[in-house]
Amino acid sequence: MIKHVEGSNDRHLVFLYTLSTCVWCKKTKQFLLDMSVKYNYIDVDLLESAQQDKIMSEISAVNPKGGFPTIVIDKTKIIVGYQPESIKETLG
Amino acid sequence: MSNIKSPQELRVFLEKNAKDKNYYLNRDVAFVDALLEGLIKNLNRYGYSSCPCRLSTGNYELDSDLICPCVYMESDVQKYGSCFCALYVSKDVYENKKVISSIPESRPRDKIFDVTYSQVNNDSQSNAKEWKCSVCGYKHLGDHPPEKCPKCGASKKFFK
Repeated sequence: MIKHVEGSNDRHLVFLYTLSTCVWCKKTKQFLLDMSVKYNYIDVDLLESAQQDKIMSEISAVNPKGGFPTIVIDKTKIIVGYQPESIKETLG
Repeated sequence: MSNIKSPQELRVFLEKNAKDKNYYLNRDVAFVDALLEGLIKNLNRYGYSSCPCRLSTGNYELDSDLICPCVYMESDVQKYGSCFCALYVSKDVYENKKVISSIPESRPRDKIFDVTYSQVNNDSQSNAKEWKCSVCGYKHLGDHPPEKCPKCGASKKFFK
């Protein structure tokens, strides 16, 4: 269920909660790819519904307002939405 | 929207709808096409074209606020210059070709997190009755008619 994308920039642990249909999610994935950042992601809409419940409660813990993509960097820094500047600043 | 099968048909519908209601579609054609793909995917898997940027449950009643254009669209466009997906933009953004970015989620938190995705799927389909909007002919399957017709905006009382 978790998908891996390889990249030469592996200094940070980057995890994305995304939807397969969301364009801001697509742009965020592309931006990370362009920056050669190694990351993992879950397309939540493609999960079985029982798994969706589990994942949505994970998201609610880190991003109480909701919204995709939800990006978790090094398990602590949270970025919501397509925010290339914040991503760049955090991942350098 | 229930009779729309292809992205081309959906584009025609959205463009007409936008014109009729003085809404503006994002000028970025590639961006809009990617959103149309998402809308079609949702139409095929849920039976209605719910927002591609939010997670649907698959239960029409729970997702009815998300059917594009969603109920948050107008206020988000007014407040931020675009809807959550950036499919619709403000006149100002449209005319000045301003760059838009992600906006915060306006949908109430309980509608996102206080639902059980694993239990609601397909529930409404079991003893579903067909409701037809007497204004535009939109067909809705469910125990109750929708609060508002997702196609023409007519209220519940117009469903027979």
